[in-house]
Amino acid sequence: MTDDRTKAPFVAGDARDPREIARRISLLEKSLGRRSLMGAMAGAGLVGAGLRTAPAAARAARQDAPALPDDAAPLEEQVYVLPADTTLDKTPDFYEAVYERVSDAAFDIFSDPLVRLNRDFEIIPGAALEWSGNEEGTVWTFQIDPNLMWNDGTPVTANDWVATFRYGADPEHAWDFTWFFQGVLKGWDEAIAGEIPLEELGVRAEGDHTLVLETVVPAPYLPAMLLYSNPLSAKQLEEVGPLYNSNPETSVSAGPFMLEEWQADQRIVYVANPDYTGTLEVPVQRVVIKLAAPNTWFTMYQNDEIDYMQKPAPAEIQIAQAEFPEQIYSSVGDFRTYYLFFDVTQAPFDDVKVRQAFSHAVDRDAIKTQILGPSGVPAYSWLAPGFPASNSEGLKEIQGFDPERAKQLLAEAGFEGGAGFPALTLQVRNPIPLEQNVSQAVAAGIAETLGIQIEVQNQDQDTFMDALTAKPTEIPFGFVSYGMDFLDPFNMLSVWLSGGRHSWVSEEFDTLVRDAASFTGDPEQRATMFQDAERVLVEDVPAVFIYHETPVQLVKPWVRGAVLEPDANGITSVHWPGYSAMSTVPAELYIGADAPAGRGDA
Amino acid sequence: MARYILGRLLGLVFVLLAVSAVTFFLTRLVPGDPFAAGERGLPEATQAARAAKYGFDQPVWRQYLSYLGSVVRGDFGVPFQAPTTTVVELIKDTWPVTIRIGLLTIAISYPLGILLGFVAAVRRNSFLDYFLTFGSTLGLVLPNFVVAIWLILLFAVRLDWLPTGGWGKPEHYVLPVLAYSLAPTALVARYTRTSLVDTLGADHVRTARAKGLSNTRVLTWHVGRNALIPFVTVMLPEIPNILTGSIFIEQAFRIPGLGRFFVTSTFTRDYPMILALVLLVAVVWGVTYLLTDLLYTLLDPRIRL
Repeated sequence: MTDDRTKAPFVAGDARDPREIARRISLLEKSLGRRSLMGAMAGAGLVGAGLRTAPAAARAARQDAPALPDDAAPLEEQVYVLPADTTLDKTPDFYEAVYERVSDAAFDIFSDPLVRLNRDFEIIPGAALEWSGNEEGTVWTFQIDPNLMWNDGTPVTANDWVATFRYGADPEHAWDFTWFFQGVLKGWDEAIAGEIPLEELGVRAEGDHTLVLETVVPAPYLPAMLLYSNPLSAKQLEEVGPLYNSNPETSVSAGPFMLEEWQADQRIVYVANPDYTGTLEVPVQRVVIKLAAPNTWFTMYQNDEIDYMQKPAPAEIQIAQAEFPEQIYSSVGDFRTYYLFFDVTQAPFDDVKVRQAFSHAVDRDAIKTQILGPSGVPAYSWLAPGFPASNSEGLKEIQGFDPERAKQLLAEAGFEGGAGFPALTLQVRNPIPLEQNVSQAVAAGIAETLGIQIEVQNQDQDTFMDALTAKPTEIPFGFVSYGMDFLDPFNMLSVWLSGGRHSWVSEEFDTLVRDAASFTGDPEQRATMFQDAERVLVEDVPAVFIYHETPVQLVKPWVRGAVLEPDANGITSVHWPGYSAMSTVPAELYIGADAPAGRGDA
Repeated sequence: MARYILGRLLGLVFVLLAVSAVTFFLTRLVPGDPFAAGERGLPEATQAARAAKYGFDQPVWRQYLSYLGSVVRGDFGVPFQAPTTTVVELIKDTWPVTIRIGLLTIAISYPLGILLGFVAAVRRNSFLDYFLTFGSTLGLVLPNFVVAIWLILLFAVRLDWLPTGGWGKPEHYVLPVLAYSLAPTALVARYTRTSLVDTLGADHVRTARAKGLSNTRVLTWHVGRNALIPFVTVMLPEIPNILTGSIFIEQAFRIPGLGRFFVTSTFTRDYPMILALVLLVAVVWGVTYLLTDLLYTLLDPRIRL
């Protein structure tokens, strides 16, 4: 317990007041001449160590039916039907398994996380009515909404979060996302290694409705990270075990939906939780998730058996463009960037000139026109346009397409015309058709420009990731992607920290990123620090950035609501993370009266 | 006979032991980890905790022995893909689905194939024969997943007569059984035709006809019965294949059967499930071959076991 913790609500003009941050970042954005304000909006939410308060409305238990617009289907027909990958039906809960949970469709919806994202990517209150950090940014206090109840009659308390975080850190659980709080939460690294008891984790309840988190470094990005904080019920964890939510008999909910049916390989059904007392007012009364291999989704969609799908294959997009173009939406997804990477510790890629040569040999514009279409935009740097601190325009020339320069650099590295260059294998991670096409095109382009041989080889997910993250890495040359976990430049840039995903080591980069991450001063300056770091990354070319994904969504015309109106940046789509209590999407989506009946049937 | 069967079953036990050992060690040799490495890889502490949780920190031979110990007690473990159930429960839930599709496929394709083969053989070298031969060749070379997609596009998307897939209603059987039946029907038709054509020219058939037996009696009794032997050799062993399902058919039509686990278990390194499936297939094959051999003695009295 620390007694020196200072609770400091912020006053106007304070660098940690979210409105002030928003104002300053938007000035920064203007001064940098960028068109997108999305980064500013995001920055406002996440750097906000300041006091945030939930709207006073929507506090009462939702006993009454929500008011529906005139063109909406009647309440009993408010059924939203979605597909999800059959291999991802192990659990609905983030703190059980991040990478094997139902993450395609509707998920993390049986309780409210502390904070959630709105359509403009702002962090807004979820289960926490307000929060504040101490001066140093190392002690964070969240006031939990006292109205929240589990539908078994147990009140939601800070202790549910304590139990959930302890479960996440429990070595016996060996969670697949333990890296997330490494070096952030106090005691986390020691707890996951079993070196300290879970009770010593820096997460504690002060009374029933105050949750205190301590960090080992100043962590202005902590509230943004806590998007991932849907609590499990401490009672069910204790009495039933961590998989209680995969069975309607033991599942409990304090979120907008509760579990009605869980049939592995077939379907999952959520129904509106009549006892929900949180802040999301959700029109949809029933969510049906059809478990199916992604390559079958498109025919289901064509046949009106699902209302929504994402990432159709290139051939399917062509059909959609011809037959129902108005149903195609390009989203920003999770600001995912696809890139080629090198093992910079091994020849020939230990020579920066070789890496630069590769970076100038990829014609992203051609890839955009010929392959990506609405599914992506060319990338020359790491942070996608619109992501906080993104500097796409400023970094564009460093890895720009320039075949002559590419050839010259390769010659300077001692491989004139590709002579003597070893034959390469480009390893690709479990590609969907689009990724397959892009990786082939990239390999062919480099091979042709530089006169070297490249063979493309696909690997399944597990083999690829094990080989990539092995120390030393077992993949000398590969194609992979990363999408954000939370809206802070620290999250995306931390992928490139020494000892992380790749073998590239740069002290300069590490220092810049870590200093910026913990910087609690002027957010403008913080963004500039991140941009300096990104420049180091792009200039040293441990990676050739190929495209930022703008995943295509197909949405039936009877899916309506604010969710499909343009956000502050004019982007129209069901925003990441999707139909989840982590987002306001469920409150902004309803089913129109023109929806065909029977879509939710078996 | 009883002794023979007992001997064969005993042999099967040793086969299973060998199969389980080879599979067990092979799964451990394959690179990759049963659990998603995630986007960043697991911290070392978590990797170690995982290994300890599932006993992967033990020497492989010890893991194998403890696995055998559990299996003897009927405990095949918990599938990594579905931690709320057990391997036995999962197979109990999903295999009947696959078996239902499989039995329907056999019930349709085998009689139909025999009929078509019979017609082709009796009318050999006619236009009808050529047509059927062409059709059965096509049925054999077209992969069933291609057929499945065509069927879905035609009957579900264009004509809207049937759902694209799903499970639980009678209409969910139609397209998968149709797609699944094509290859076995074609195979049965071809073998029936070939073996009938051979038998029709045999001496004993000529003798039967010379005795003045009716055409029907010659075809059913003297030709049909003999023609069944090559048929049994080829078609009985097809049954285990059909009854253990196909990932393509099950995935295309969203059938919650066993078929997909043969592939997904390997991809996800679901060791308990891989082992159980391999053993299951070994048992089904062992029993099928035993039955095939027993059937021979019924069909041809000259064959003795």
